[in-house]
Amino acid sequence: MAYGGYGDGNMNLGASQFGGGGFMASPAPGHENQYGGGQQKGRNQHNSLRAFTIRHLLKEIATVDDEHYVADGHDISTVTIIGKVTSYQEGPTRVLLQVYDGTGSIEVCSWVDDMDLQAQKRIEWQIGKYVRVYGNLKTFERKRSITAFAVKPITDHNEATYHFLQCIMQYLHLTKGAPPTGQSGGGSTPAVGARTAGGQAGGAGVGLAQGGYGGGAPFAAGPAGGGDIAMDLKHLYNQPPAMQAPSGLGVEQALNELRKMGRNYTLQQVIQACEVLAADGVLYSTINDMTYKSCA
Amino acid sequence: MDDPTPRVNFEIMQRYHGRKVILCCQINQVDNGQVRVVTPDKGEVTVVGGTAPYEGRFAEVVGTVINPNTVQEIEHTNLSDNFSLDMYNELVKLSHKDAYIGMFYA
Repeated sequence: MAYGGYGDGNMNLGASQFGGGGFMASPAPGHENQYGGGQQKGRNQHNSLRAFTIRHLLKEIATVDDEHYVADGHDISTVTIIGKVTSYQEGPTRVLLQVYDGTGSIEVCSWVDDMDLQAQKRIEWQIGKYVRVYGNLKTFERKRSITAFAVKPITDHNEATYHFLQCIMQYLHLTKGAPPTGQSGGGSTPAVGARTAGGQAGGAGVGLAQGGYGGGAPFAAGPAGGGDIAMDLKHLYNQPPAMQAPSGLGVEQALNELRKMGRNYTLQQVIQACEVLAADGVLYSTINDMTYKSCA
Repeated sequence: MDDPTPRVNFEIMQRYHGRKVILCCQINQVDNGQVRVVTPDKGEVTVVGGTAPYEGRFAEVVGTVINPNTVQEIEHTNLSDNFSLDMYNELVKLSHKDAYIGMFYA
């Protein structure tokens, strides 16, 4: 599963969710905003599922209006957490849980109409057991809680490890851009076995060491799965290093960066595409005809 | 129960002397209320004061660090037998990094 599947509301339950997409509410960086920009008022039309540590959920999220939440600059719709049940309270139509994951504690409300189902839940959601919760954030009297539509007991505790790693991964992805593709371990398939998962975590470490996310002028990967050179160049020239360099980026440098992102274009293609973009007013040439900078 | 409890391995545990931590570990030997365990970074620790039985190979112990090699148990949870301690160790190290510690404990 590549990092390409954003915003399609894909809710992949279980540990295999780790390598998947579906947690970006808006289109991936570099794509045109197909919603035409501007705020979406009222009903949240973006569907995304994002993993959070409870501390992050309670601390870092800004409430835009009653039902609208933003984390790390992105809208959130559905959230998922993993934690231990620390308290269990049954009501006539619902069950109230308190879930603690080592970083914080949050109340989870699950509407359970059927009395038989409630009895089953009593067994599955025992105090001291780990559960995974999928639901939506709610605020009532300044207290945040989750209204859950699914609460599942955890049987493989590697899922808890994956979840926390996924929280870190998604946070990095949303704040610093997608990991570079074409690097070993960086874009690997969803990890289910212990060894590959260890490789993935190690791969993330390798990515970090190679300046993937540090202050060392990284180029974030372009939109996945595209063969569109214009799109890739637009994305590239809008990256911080290209924007900040006084004379922008030369075509050969651009070619190298594109190669690093896994895009194999020829120099001729890059030159031609840059000329077209310059004619369109997206780029402008700086010190010579082979060096461009973004007009944005 | 709202306060964060840091997840630790042997090395990181030393910074939390006297404090409550979460230690996931592999069980080596159970001796009458004392359990000898291996931490995610291959250190050896003794867990004392547990009452509930330890089942399986792995456990998550919540307890207080009373000396560099000993944890006083408050409670523990048995983990699945396929638990990867190596991957968990990577998580422990990442969660303490400055860049991410705010999501976890700070």
